[in-house]
Amino acid sequence: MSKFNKKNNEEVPKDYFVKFGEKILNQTIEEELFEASEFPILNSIEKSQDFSIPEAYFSNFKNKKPLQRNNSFSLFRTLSIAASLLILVAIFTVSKNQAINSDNENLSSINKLELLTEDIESIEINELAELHGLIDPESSDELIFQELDHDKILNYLLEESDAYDLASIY
Amino acid sequence: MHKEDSEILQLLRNSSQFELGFSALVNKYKEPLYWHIRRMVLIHQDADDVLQNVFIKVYKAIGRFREEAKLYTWLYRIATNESLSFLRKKKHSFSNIELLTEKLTEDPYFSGDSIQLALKEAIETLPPKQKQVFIMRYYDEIAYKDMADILESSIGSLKASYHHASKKIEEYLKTTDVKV
Repeated sequence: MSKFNKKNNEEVPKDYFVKFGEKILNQTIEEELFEASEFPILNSIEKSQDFSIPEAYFSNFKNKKPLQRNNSFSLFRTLSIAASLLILVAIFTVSKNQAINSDNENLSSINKLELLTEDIESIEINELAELHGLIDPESSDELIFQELDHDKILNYLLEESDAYDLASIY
Repeated sequence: MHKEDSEILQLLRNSSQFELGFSALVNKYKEPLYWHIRRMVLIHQDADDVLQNVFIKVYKAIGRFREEAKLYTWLYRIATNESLSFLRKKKHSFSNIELLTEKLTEDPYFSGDSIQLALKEAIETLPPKQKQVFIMRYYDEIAYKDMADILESSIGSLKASYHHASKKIEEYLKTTDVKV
């Protein structure tokens, strides 16, 4: 192997590399001349500046503009995320209520009574009555309603239990 | 006097000098990029919007810029894509030439004569790629090699696109009454 000489046996014409640059340049000029003759109208059009810009546009164009946009985009993104979270919470609440309502339909009267009496002490009578339109929150019926005893209220609630929305209490 | 790209990149790499570097980048490239965009979207207000979006994108993506590419070709690529995306979104490619003529003649920032207007109309009739190549070669005089980097295309295909575009424009100009 070492006997072989790595000398380049191929040859190039004399001054090939010297003239290479000149050849490429001539080719480009030829191409341009060809284009000029092929597209005479296009090449005769003067490339004048036909667009203008508002006065001092470039001197007023600083990187503050993109940065301001960037900030407003962040605000927009934050609001979008907040809105999305709100929608998710709303969907979750509605679906949870629907699930409770459907369970509610299967409860017997006894179950309903147990459910109602279980936390009866924690239920605000006025809130409950207000919820069912028994009293007007703006009116002064509150005192009269508070005179009713628990048994009467429970009986009333049991009678009305079909229309009663337990999910809104619990 | 604008800073060299290498100097700008050096500033951008240093977090404490990032803002300075970005400011230098904006100062150096705002004009060439503006004119590149303007020739695509035609109307000043649209060009202004697109240019701002370009710098927002650059601001966010400069950290991912691979330095084996030229900064200038990278910026032109972003500006080109942003202009095309703008035209697509706004369906702004003036599908009918009358609308373009009306827009340009009403535009206080267009002062071209009838032949310049006819040339704009002719360019508008081109398919997007040919239009892009023609604008970059004819107006911006960008070398095919750089165009190949910007548009991620081969030099041969770009030359062919430019030739087809020129032919179509020549044909269009022949049909108009304007005298050069």
